[in-house]
Amino acid sequence: MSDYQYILNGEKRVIACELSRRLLDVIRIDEGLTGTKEGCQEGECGACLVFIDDQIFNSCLVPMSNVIDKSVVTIESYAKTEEYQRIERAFLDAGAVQCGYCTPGMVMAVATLLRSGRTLDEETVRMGLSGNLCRCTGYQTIFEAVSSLTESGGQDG
Amino acid sequence: MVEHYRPKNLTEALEWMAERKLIPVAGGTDLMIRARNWQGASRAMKGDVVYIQHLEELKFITETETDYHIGAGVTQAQFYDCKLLPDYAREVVGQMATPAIRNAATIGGNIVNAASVADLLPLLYAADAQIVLKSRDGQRVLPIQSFEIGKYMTARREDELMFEVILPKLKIKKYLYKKMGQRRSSILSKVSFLAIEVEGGTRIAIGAVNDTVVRSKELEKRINEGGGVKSVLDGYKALLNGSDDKRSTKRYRERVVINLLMKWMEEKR
Repeated sequence: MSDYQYILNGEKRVIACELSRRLLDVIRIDEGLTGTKEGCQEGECGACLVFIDDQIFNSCLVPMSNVIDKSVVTIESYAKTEEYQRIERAFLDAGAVQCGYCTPGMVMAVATLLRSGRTLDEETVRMGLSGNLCRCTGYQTIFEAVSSLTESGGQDG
Repeated sequence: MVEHYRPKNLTEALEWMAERKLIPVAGGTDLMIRARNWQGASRAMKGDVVYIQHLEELKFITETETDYHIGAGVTQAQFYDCKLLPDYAREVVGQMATPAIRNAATIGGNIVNAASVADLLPLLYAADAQIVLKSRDGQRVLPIQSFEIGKYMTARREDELMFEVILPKLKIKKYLYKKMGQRRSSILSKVSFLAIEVEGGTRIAIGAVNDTVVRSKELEKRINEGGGVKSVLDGYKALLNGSDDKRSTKRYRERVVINLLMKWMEEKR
């Protein structure tokens, strides 16, 4: 039995697989959490973003060795937070979701922007989301959603 | 069957590396792609692996009167966020990859991976940086030019780990950094060009064209002495031996380099 542990969505997990197994495979296949998407498999598209100790990572490139003793949060757990609810509301209002495949990763990148405390001008938002590809190409509505969060200070109504 | 080693600390890592051939994996942003395989399948690592991302001994940024010391395990995001480090260096790192990749990718990984497109390398060549390698039996310090010996090739011995990069403190009067790519983010450079003006004059480093970074002290001297523009440009042209590949063409790369050199020399006058 392995001594290696990590936290997944607030719950302790023992790592029983190869240390090179992708975090993405553990999340989607072993844990059955399919909110995290697999896109390009090479860190370009951002569909597989998760939080590791509150920072975004492409889970398709993270070997399990690199999450030992860390806390991983996927979209399923993040969706229960108030911060997420604010982002969801902004995305809905702006029509920023088309097929939805990029959305979980996109939402997590937006969260990082909100937490950065930086002024969210257009340049900052574009750079912050530069690792997330939307094949529907609905970028404009996504940018609008993020700027609406700024205007309302991230609050509802 | 590939073996996986996860050392408790740097000493243990170096012990193991002295005894067997191991591939060091840090952030995994390059090696995990090269080891790609079907969903859920084992990663196709080319040999036994030692994981080093968690080693605290490699995560430090310190300064002395003359240099910055940056641990090999410092991530690109940590480098970019560190206000201690000079702007010209942070700007280079800030244009690498994407925010999420910068959270994982390490400084050491970019240097030791030694891709010809590695964007850190022109910076290190221009700054005359040094690479510190550690093994069970001691340490070696190599100038960056002697460390990077070819495309994906370094002077690192199999029993050595990169420990840190020593970046000399320079009084930068002016700099020009241009990363040319198909788009601004998440892109392999067609050309990665850095020119800096320091007390001793101009330094120019050109990455992503040849297998290793182009830097010529002789041509820099010619620029500093106010030599003819044409002779300088011809000198650099003769040094560029890139080829056509999926990123760009030889002709385009040379044109970009020449244009940037002219821009730099014009602004200098």
